[in-house]
Amino acid sequence: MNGQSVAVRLPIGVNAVTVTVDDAHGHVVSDSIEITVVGENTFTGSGEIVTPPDDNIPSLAGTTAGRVSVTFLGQVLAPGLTWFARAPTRLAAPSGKQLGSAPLYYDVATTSGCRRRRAPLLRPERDELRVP
Amino acid sequence: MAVDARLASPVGLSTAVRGRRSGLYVADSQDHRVRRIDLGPATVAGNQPPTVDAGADYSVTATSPAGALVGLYATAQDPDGDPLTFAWSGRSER
Repeated sequence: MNGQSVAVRLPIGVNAVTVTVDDAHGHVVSDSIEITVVGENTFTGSGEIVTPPDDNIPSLAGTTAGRVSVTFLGQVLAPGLTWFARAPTRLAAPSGKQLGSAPLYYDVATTSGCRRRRAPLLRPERDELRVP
Repeated sequence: MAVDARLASPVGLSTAVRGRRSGLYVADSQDHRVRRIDLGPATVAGNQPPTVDAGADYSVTATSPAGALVGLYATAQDPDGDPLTFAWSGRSER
């Protein structure tokens, strides 16, 4: 049994992917699948909680949830996509200081329509971020 | 494979494999030319084709407006144990 894995960036929408295998003896066989990249994860309502997937890890079937949740405290008026615009960054502790555990910083972006969208973030609470 | 060969006076036949293509060579005694009829990809007699499985369709959530980083995995098996070469291609529709 042979296997091959690759990681590719696919656009939002339906993506038809074909893998072709050649045995160098004149036989070329292929198989195709459809991978749908869903462009919405934030829906209308209040108290919407979104867990954007981690962009550093290739998504496989059933493993799309990330580790950090974003809570919209206001009303979400139009659905859209919420994501982390920048990967978590670990910053060094100030000189002479020592952190118990290094903090993670996230930039959160969304295309959803919500009140007070430009209000400053965030109140980190363990692995949860709250959008006012 | 349907082959339409029109020769005035064919006198000899031979087959050959060059690279990955197979061909039928026919000699014409009237104009003293040898013509090659392409028979398509060459296969080794007795060699079995491999099988490949790309898995089932699935969905992922975009990680940004640019889409998502997606992991693709395929398995293949060759009954003759031939080394296999993988190639990926795709097209997208919004």
